[in-house]
Amino acid sequence: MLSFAISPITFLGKLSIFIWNSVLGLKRFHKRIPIFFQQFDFIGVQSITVVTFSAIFIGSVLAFQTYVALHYFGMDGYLGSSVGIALMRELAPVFCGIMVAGRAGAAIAAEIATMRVTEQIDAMEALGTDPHDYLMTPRILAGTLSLPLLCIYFTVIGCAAGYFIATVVLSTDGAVYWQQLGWAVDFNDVWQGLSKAFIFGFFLSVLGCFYGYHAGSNAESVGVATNKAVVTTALWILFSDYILTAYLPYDPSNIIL
Amino acid sequence: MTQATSSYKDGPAISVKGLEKGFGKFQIHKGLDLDIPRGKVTYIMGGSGCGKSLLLKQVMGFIRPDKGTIQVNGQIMDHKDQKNLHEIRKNMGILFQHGALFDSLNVYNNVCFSLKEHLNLSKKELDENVENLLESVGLSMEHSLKMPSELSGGQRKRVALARAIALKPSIMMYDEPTTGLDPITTMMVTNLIKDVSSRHNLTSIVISHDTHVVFTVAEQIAFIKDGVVRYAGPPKGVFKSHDPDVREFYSLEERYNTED
Repeated sequence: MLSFAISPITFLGKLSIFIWNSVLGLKRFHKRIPIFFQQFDFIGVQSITVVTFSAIFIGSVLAFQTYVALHYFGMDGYLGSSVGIALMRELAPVFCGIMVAGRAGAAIAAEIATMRVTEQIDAMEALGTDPHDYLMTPRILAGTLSLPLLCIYFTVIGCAAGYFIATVVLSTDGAVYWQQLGWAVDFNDVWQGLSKAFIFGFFLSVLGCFYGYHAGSNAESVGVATNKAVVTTALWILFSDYILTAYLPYDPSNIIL
Repeated sequence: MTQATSSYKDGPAISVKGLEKGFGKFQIHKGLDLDIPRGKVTYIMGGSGCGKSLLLKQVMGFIRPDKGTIQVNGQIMDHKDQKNLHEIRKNMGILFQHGALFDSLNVYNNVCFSLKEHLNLSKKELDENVENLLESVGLSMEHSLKMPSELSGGQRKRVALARAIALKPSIMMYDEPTTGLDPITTMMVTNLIKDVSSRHNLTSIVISHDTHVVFTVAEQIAFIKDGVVRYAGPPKGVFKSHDPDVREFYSLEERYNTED
């Protein structure tokens, strides 16, 4: 019972020290710029395919389902605003976070855990280089900065997919779709979506690095670290999404319906 | 806190006092004392699980001891102070059991990793250093563009050794460097250790099970059993030891190696 209570505290303590050491790594960031861009390419650019497909399907399904509800009340014209707000505020950051955690977060955890198992991290320390500033800081920064950009991209592709469904499949007016979308989605929505994406990007990269770094010393621990990184990131994203939605300051009167 | 004694060059390179380390119920080191003489090749031996590699990892500062002190070149190791650890580690090199080369970097970048990290050298200087280092371990620049996965076990260890001595450490540690190698490569690696140690005037600490090699290369032996050092001295002194465990270990190992 006591260990059940202690383990989350121990985990948070270890995680805080890990994050702090990675923040200290910023002092030598000027030497890590090539690694940062390499990681930015891996986490951000190479996630574009998976994000594109996710956005197309999510945008399409959202347009279909929202249309059913709106049509019931004779409010078909508000389809664009509903799709735009839902994607920008919620679906883009959450789905981007989970998809990128499954692709890049898992890869980060597996790579660093393998380095731990094969003593490469010990070798790095033995050579007088802090693994935090060499391995963690560039990855965490790349993950944190790339997710907001992917979130914007997701929203654009999702809205376009929604437009396709609205006009071609549901035969609604395309001009009204864009007009309503542009009218409804304002700076507050963009700010809320991007701040969530920023935080989710931080979670997925930090947790990937953390579980990889604290992996055990056998092959099994690589799988365990990867699994923990993905599951914990997904849960943290969903939990923090609720907290951020409930407590992020925004003006509900801006919603135009 | 760290403190360096002014006359540390007269004393041992590494001095371990009252080292204790356990994991849960298992106490591995129980007040281990050991002095590693400067400029000599010291072999650390003992049965599996006696804590040889653990000792090395504590000396490198990877694992924090429960009790006791470790002094390297007169400087007391403070495991809580990362700056102190990095400073001490700059004077130490380690060759891991499987080389531990960085998978994502080629041979060139592995060898010059610490040079790039700690020194501001031009590309030409880096090239010269890498060439010299590879040469000193019996490799040429032809290997520099190869990835670690393209190297044989022996070549990996050579590259790892070149990487470890790049910053000219005064202490070099080898964690079971000949495990898993064929007899010819074992001899090659052993000769390399001897050669590099004498050429660079290094204090070398080697963990090995190979008693045949130990008696040809070692200038000092430390035998660990039950968490303490049971014998420390010149190789020939083992046979004069009154400790039955020491005598038994060496006679059994010797017999096993001869039959093998």
